[in-house]
Amino acid sequence: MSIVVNLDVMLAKRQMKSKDLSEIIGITTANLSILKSGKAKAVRFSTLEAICKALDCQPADILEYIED
Amino acid sequence: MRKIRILHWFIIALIVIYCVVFLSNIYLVVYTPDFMNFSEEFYQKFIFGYYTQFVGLAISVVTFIALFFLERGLKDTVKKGFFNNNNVIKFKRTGQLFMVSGSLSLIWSITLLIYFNGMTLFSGLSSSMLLILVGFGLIILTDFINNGNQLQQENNLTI
Repeated sequence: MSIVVNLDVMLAKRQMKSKDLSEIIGITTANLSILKSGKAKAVRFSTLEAICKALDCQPADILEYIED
Repeated sequence: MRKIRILHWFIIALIVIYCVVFLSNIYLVVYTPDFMNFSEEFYQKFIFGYYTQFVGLAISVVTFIALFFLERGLKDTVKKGFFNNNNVIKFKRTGQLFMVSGSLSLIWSITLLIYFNGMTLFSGLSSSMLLILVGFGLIILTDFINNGNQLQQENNLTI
């Protein structure tokens, strides 16, 4: 997939654990793992908004387009 | 899901009826010497002689196998929900077997009609056509389930 999720990078920058983020944004760790691994088919705006708010970042910091 | 459960039990009842009919037919033919014991001259009028009576029974075995697959498919649907890969395979096989059974039944009815120069009733047409239609409908249903499967998977992977 050409869209890469850089959630791991942002989590490392903010020194936050996946479990903590999942608790803040209100999704399961399993779903967060799906998102991090790039297996997710789509991301809801509400989820993206919650992630950006929790990590104090922009959507572009999390999502990146890389041509195949 | 309640309707599926009712249909599931109905199919189980049909399978039991099929088994009883099948076993009683075998019992009558094997253990009752007087049953259908006509002269050889009488049987010579038929296409396959004495064995003509078993053609319908042989075709119904295909329908029975189809019912068995349908029961398994419905069981999977009750257990795992509408959209799963297991019931798709079983419903598709059921549809194919229903179509085969319906086609064979139709061919047999036409053969009898031709063999007896139109002196017999063309009785198998409606049931055979219905069986073919149900089979075709089941094959189309598997396409719907496949599509639903894909949509559900995408929905589950939307975070």
